[in-house]
Amino acid sequence: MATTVTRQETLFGKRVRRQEDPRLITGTALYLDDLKMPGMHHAIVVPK
Amino acid sequence: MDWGGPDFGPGMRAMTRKITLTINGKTYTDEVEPRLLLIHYLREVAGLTGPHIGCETSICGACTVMLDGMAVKSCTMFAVQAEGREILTIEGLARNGKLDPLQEAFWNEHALQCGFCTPGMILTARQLLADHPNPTEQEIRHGLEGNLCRCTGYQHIVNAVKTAAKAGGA
Repeated sequence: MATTVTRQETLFGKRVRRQEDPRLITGTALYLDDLKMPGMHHAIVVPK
Repeated sequence: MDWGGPDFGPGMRAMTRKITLTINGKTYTDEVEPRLLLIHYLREVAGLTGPHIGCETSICGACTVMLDGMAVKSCTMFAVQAEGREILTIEGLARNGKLDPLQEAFWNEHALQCGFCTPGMILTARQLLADHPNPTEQEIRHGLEGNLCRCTGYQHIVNAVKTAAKAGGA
């Protein structure tokens, strides 16, 4: 939500929606496990 | 990554099966190993990383998708079990760029922080609202018992589901 702040109007007391939420609620956000890099390999440590 | 199965060398490839299913209205056909979990199929083969892997043991609900209109934990199913069926993931919920009432409500009610549990929460809530269009707080909390959130704390999530119910969220 784009909010223009002028001298007369401030964000105090206003409802503000988080800018990062659209990608988080639509499944388009990328977490570390979602990344694919060229030549990427996965490794796991197996304790013995 | 090639999730068709491990390569054991020439002529030693593990047995695969061909599956055809619909995801978010699109048809997918792939060769998969029978042991491939549905969540791995969705993320690694179909490339849909909206459903997340939190625990891989059916506890956390981060991998929840809708299978023929029912919310299921996709780490609890094999991909081959989805043969011929219809799946909705979080990526398919908004239509033509218009957010679903549940997505709007989660945004407006601050029902997420890191957002990792959110896709599962929203799809489970969708099932909840299909079963209980006007849920009580107790019904909402009971309906979301299978989905864990580690940052928001559930009150805002419950508020969001209430708000979505008022907006006709199911």
